[in-house]
Amino acid sequence: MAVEAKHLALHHSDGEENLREQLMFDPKPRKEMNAMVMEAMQTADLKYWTVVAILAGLVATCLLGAWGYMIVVGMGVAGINRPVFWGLFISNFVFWIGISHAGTFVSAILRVFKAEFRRPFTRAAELMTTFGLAAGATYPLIHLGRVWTFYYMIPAPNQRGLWPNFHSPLEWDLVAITTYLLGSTMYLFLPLIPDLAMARDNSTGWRYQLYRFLALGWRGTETEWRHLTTAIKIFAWTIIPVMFSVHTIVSWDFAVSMTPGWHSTIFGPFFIAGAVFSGVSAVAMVLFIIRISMVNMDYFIRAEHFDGLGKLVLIFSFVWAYFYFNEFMVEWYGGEAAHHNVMDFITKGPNAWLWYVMLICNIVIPWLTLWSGKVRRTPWMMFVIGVVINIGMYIERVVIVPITLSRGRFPFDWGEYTPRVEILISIGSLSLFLLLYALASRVIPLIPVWEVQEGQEAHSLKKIGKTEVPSVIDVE
Amino acid sequence: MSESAHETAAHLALFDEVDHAADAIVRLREIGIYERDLEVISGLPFSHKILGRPEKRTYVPLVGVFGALVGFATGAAFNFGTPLLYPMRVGGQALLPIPPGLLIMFEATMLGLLVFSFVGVLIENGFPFFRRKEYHPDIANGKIAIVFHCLPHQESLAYAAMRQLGAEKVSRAETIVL
Repeated sequence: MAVEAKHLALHHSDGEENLREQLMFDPKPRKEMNAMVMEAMQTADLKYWTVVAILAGLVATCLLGAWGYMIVVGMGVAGINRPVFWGLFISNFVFWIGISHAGTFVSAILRVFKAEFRRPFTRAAELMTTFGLAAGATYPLIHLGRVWTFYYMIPAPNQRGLWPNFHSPLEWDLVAITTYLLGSTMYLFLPLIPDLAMARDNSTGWRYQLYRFLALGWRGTETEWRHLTTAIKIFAWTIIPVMFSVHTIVSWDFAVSMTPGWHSTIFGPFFIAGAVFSGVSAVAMVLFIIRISMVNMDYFIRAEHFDGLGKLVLIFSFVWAYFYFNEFMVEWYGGEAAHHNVMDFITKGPNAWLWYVMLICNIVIPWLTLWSGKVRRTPWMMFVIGVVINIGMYIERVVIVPITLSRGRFPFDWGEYTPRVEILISIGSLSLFLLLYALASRVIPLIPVWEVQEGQEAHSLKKIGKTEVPSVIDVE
Repeated sequence: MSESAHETAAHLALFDEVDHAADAIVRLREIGIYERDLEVISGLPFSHKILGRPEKRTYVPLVGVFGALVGFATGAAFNFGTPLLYPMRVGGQALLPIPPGLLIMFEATMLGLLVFSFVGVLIENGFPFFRRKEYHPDIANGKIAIVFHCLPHQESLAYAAMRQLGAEKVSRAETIVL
C-alpha cells in the first residue's frame, strides 16, 4: 500500500542520518508543514519592508520615471542610434525571457521526467517564469518609443480596417509571449489551488478572505483531484513545446535578418540552451535568498536541491559552450568578410573585455567549480556561481545585440553604442522583478506542500539482499 | 438495496491514515451504502486504486482538444484569412506564406489547448463555489474524510464500523462556507 511506505524502517544509524538529509526521507506531519509555510508567509520584519520600500522606489523612479521621461522627451534620450537601433532594451528583453524559462524547465520538464528533487521548489521557479515574463514583456513596449501605438499589434483590425501582419517577427513575438505568459500563469495557478485552500483553512482576517476567493471553493474531493491532476499533466506536456517555441521565436527576431552575426540556423537551440542555463542558475540564486530570508525554509530547501540544480547548471554550461563554439567555428571557418569583421570587433575591439568576461563567467567558473559535490551542496557558493553565470549571460545578450550591430555589413554601417536612459530602465526592471517576487513571497505559499507530502508518501526504503535502498512509487 | 440514501443527511468520518480510510470504504459498501453515496476528501491526490474506488471520469482532456481545434482555426483565420480581407501584395512575396503561418497556428493551438483545459477544470469542478458544502478544515492538515449518505437503519452500523477502523471522528457532516 502506497501510504504505508512513508513509515521508514531505518535501522542503520549512518544510513538514517544520510537519508534524513533528504527532504523526501525526513517527513513531518502535514499540519506541521502547513504551519511552517504559513509562518514563513506571515513573517515580515522591518528589514523585509525596508527592502520592499527601496525596490518600490527604484521601480517608481528608474522604471516608471525614466520610461515616462523617455516617452515625454522622445527616444533621443536613449543611446540607440544608427547603426545600433537595438540596444539594452532588446538585450534585457532576451535576458528576461531567458530567465522565464526556469520555471517551465524546473517545473514541467522535471515533472514529466518525475525528477523527485524538484518538489519543494517548483513554485518558486514558476513564479520566476511569470515575473520574468512580466519584466521582459515591458521591453517591446519600451522599445516601441511611441508606446501608445502598441494596439497596432493586437489581433484586431485598426481604424483603416487593416489587421496586423502575422508574417512579421514582431507579431510572432506578441503571439508567442502572450501564449507563454498566459500558459505559465495558469500553470502556476492550478497546482496552487490546493495550497490556497490550505492557506484558507489556516488563516483569518484579510488573508482568509483572499485565500477563500483564490481557492475557488476547493475541498479536495476525488473528482476535484482527478480534474486537477489531469490538467496539470496536460499543462506540463504542453508548456514544454511552448517554452521552446518562445525562445526560438525570440532568436528568430535576429536570425531571420541578414545581419552578419545573427543570420544563423542554430540560433534557436542556442538561445534555448542559454535561456535554460541562466534560468536554472537564477533558480539557485532565488532559492538561496528564500532560504536565508524566510523562516522555516531551511527544512524545505536543502543542500540536495542545490546539488541537483548545480548538476543541471553544469550540463547546460556544456551545452551552451557547445553551441557557442559551433556558431563561432562555422562563421570563422566560412571566412566571409562581414562575419569576420563582426568577430574581430567582438573579440579584439574596444569591448573585447566583455567577451572574455562572458567566457569566464559562462564556461571557466562553472567548469572549475560545479564538478565538486561540495561546492554544489553549499548554498552560498551556488548563489555566487548563479550571480556570475547570470552576469555572463547578460553580457552574452549585450554582445549579441548592440555590439554585433556595431559592425554592419559595410563600413558606413559601423558605429558605437553607449547606453544612457537604458541603464536606469534596466535597474528599474530588475527591481520590478525583485519587488513582485518579494511581495508574492508573503502572499503565495512558495512551497507546494501537497506535492512535498505526496513525495514523502511515495518514498520508502526497500530491502534488497542485505541492505535497504531508497525507492519511490507513484501515488497518483 | 434499492432505496437511495442520497437525499438523506451526510455523515463525515475523519481518518489519519489512508489505509484505514480505504478499509472503511470497503466496510461501508458491505453495510449496503452505494458508491454514489460515498465521497473521499483528502489533501493529497490518492489514486482510485489506492482508495479502492472506481476511477472518476474527467472530460478535461476532451475540452482541451476542443480548445486546441478552436485555437488552430483561429490561428488559421488570422494567418490565412486576414490578408485576404485587405490584400497588400509586396513584390515577390507570397500573400499567404505557409512557414510563418505554421508559427501562428502552433501558438494559437497551444493557447487554445491551455486555456480550454484551465477552463475545463473550473467548469468540471463547478468553480468558483463559495457556498456551504460538507467539509472539515483538518482535511487540509492531512486528515482524510469520508462523506457518506446512509439510510437511518444503516447509521449506527456505519458509525460503529468507522470507529472500529480508527476514525478519529464520526458525526453528521458539518457544512462550511467555502
